[in-house]
Amino acid sequence: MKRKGKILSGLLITVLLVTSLTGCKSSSKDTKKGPEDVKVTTENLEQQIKEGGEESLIPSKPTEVIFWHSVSGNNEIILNEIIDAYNAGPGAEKGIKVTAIFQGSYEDFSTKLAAALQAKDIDNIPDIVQLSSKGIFDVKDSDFMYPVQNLIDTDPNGIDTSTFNEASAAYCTYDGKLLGVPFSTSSIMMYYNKDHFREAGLDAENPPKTIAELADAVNKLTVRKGDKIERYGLGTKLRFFILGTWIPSLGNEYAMFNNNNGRTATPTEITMTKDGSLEKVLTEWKAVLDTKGVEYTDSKPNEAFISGYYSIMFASTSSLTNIIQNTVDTETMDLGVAEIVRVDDKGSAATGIGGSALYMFNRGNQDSILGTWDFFKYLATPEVSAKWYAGTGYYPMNTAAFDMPEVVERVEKYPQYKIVDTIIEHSAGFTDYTEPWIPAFSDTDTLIQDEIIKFSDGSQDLKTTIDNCDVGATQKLNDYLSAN
Amino acid sequence: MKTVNEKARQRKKFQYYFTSILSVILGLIIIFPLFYAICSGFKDNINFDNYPPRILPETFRNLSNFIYVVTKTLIPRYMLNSFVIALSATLVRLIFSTLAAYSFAFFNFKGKNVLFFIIVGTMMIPSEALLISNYLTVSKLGLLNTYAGIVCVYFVSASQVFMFRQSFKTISGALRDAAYIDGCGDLLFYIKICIPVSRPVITALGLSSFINVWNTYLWPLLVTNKEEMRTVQVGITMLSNADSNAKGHVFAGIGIILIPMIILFAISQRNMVRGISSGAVKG
Amino acid sequence: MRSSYNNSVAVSVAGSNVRHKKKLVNVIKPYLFLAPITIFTIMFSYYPFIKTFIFSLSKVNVAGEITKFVGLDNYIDIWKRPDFINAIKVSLKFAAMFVPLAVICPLLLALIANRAKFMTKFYQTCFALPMAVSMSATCLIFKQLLHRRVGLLNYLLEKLGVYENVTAIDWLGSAKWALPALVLIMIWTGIGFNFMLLLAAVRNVPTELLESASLEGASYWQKVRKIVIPVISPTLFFVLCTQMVKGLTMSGPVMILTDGGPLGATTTMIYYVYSAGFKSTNYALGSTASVCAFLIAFVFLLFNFKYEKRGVNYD
Repeated sequence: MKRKGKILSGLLITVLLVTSLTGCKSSSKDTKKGPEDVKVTTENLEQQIKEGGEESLIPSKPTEVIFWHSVSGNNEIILNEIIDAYNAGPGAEKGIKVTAIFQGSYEDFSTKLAAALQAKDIDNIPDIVQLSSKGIFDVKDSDFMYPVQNLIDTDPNGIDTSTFNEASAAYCTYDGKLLGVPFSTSSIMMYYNKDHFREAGLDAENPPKTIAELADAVNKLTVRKGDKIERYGLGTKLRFFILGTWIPSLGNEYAMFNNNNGRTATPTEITMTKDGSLEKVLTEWKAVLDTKGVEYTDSKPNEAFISGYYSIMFASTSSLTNIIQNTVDTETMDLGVAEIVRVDDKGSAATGIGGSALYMFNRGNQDSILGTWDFFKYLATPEVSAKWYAGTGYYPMNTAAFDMPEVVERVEKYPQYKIVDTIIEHSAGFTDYTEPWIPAFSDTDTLIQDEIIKFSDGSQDLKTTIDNCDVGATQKLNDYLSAN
Repeated sequence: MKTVNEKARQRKKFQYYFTSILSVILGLIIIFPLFYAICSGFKDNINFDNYPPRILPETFRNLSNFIYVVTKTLIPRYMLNSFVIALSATLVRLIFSTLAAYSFAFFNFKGKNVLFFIIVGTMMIPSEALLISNYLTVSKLGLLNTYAGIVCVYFVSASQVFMFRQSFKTISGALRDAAYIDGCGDLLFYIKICIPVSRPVITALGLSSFINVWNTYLWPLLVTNKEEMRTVQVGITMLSNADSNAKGHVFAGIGIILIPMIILFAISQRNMVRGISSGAVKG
Repeated sequence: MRSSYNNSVAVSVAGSNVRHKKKLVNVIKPYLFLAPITIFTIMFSYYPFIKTFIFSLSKVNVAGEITKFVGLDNYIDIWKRPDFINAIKVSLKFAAMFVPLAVICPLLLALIANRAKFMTKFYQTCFALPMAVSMSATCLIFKQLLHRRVGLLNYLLEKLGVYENVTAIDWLGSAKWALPALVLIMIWTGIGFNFMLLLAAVRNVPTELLESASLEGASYWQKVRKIVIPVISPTLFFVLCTQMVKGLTMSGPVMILTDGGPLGATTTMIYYVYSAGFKSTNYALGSTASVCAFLIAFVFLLFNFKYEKRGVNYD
């Protein structure tokens, strides 16, 4: 009997140990709402706002708004300052508290969000999410997603969408409705080293405007020692972010994917391989490749550019603040900025939009939705937009930010910031230059990148490259379409 | 003229010195990346990526990155979380694994091989495939945002079962029989003989378990939504950003997190040395 | 006297107690010892894995729901995909480079450390310290060290004149060198733990055996081959198995450093599961790849255990 007792007590201890680890359990086990219930919530809410006016926009009791994001590093400091100011100001007046929680990179975040939505666990779904093109696709059709357009239509004094940068707004528009607010959008642009330009006998104030001119510049800028490249003229990697500008710039009839790059409905085919636009881009690009002075595999050229290894690089506008800190502030480089080169001198001068936006979820709680909406309105004010833009380099949601003192000061101190204004000006009216919303975004992007690299190093001819892109991308689309 | 013995002794002494020095050099080479990481914590974010690269920072008195990490992130709370999670997972894991290994090493029962392969088979199941399923399970059990929810997936370690089985198998069956006849039950034999004999293995595997669980990133991220429940690895990721250069902060964070690890090593080194030199029971 | 302790045996030995054990308790006991671990294994490893298996036989939408059952179609389809075949090749290549080094390097270190008598604490701590760093931190450190321009490795090679007429190598960005770079990182990470295990095993080789071999005129390496290795074979076997599984299922550094590139040169099987499967919300494909990866690793492990019977002696 002693033995049995010992065994039993051993197991009992184990069980106790395990259960004692159950610390602070999440207690809220109230009625789990389903998708139908949450729809009712918003229908009622919209009705109330239409009838009620200003007062109906204030939550009935103190509310916490949960905001999941992927912002880290210096940018997170700025974001937290904005949120703290809101919580202390308008939030305190209306009983709204925004809690921002970092959820990892865009990738980890997507996995987490997918898991939470699959569990249909209302308590553990956030109110606001920041999603990039990678993450929005699978989520946009979710029953819990609530288009911002609905509130824009219902609340007359809410957000004036004419203050939005048109292209940024188009980025987060789906099926004609504004799905989210363009909080953290960006574009591709060109950074170049003016010192290197002067050394090479190029005009530092007149950077190349087309791919052909770029090829010429790269040739002159590259420093060679026999077979060895000591300094590359250009460092970049062709990918969706860049093609998103080049393909549509060739003309209205060209696009990367059909169905408006996923803004009208899920794309069913890849069009840039069939309409000749990818072919045209790569044919022009060959001139740059032939100089042998381009590093075409580097999608994160920032470090190498800062250290002087590349004379030119293609990078996002959201890197502007950081690059300026590392070159202008340290006085190690005379930094030049420009719009990205055109494919040729016939296309448009517009630049495409990528990055991420903020979307809201409907958890069946009216107060949370009201809280979220109020916070969005705050973010859309010129002052807050200016703070975000000046601190990070992401496009300001409200274009009046460019006239705010904070921004004006910044532009005066660092004239490079003017480029963002220029890009917006030249992109006005062109709203189709959006990063595609397709299934398997990263995989398809990688596939096309890899094929272009094989073309670049000469191991594959143009036709094979285009065919491979076509077959590969189509397979991924079909994988999705056959299961959904 | 030196005798043969003296020459042999001298050669041995030379070998001892030589291999000691060689070991120290190899040791320095191996920890160089860590030394570099800690030094980098003292470097300025702005000049971090200048060419030519440097190993040592401008000055060791630049504590701004470390201060940033400690104040701007909830690192102390995260470290506590990581510690609790790693410790409880390690303890439970050791208990479960040694119990199971005992069973495999000393009993003969139906389905022994099958069960063994089932348990060892978990080593090869890709954990990515299980993430979402396990999230759903933990969510249904209401264990999201709790220590239990995070820890429960770490209770099984196939490699520990495997290793303890190896270790227990070296304890001769005859010893087991003798103890049995003397009236010593299985549990008692397990506690009084097997565990002490395997002490070096237990220390080694326990340490490795602790570190593995301390280092996990994705699962704790998935299962926690609240800042207070986050682990230290998420803290490091929060310091770096794709669009901006905050490398000084990142390496300062790495440096700070290394410190408890180094302390842990210093403590357990003594135990391990004692365990190793006491030797195992030979049948 | 039969040495069996799981059936009722009435043994009478003069002077000691005679205990009749109930058959039932003895039959259940082994299972009781196994119960805790088995429960969790089933709940958190096999139950989700069975779900995975079912997914691999169906089409699954982005919300994780099964839309239709397609039997073995996914399996037939996946073996036609060049990127999956590439993933298997990459995993095998990686394992072939990694496993021998992962067993031999710690073994050499253990043999060296065994002969050294001074400053043991210092270098033992040094060898073991890489364990203490998380995978993400390790990757960040090596990313900086291996950077083409601002990394110390290339700077050193430049100073040594290796790059006299050759453009500096982009270690993690070159299709040729990315996988070896990952091998280096994984070896560095794992060296400490295996070193400790092997050192303990080597130290426990009875000195009488070694001395009598010396007297018979055996050289150092002969002693190592004929005595040390057989005696430490249980531990060596453990190291071999775990490193083989680690090699075949490596994915962490790929996710953090190379994203499966460049040109798919570092897309291992598990990374393929993650990237083509779950990241792209193609759950059916990811599940199918998971099952295939599991089977491949399982086969390798089975071979190892077959070898255990022949090569490993437990004394």
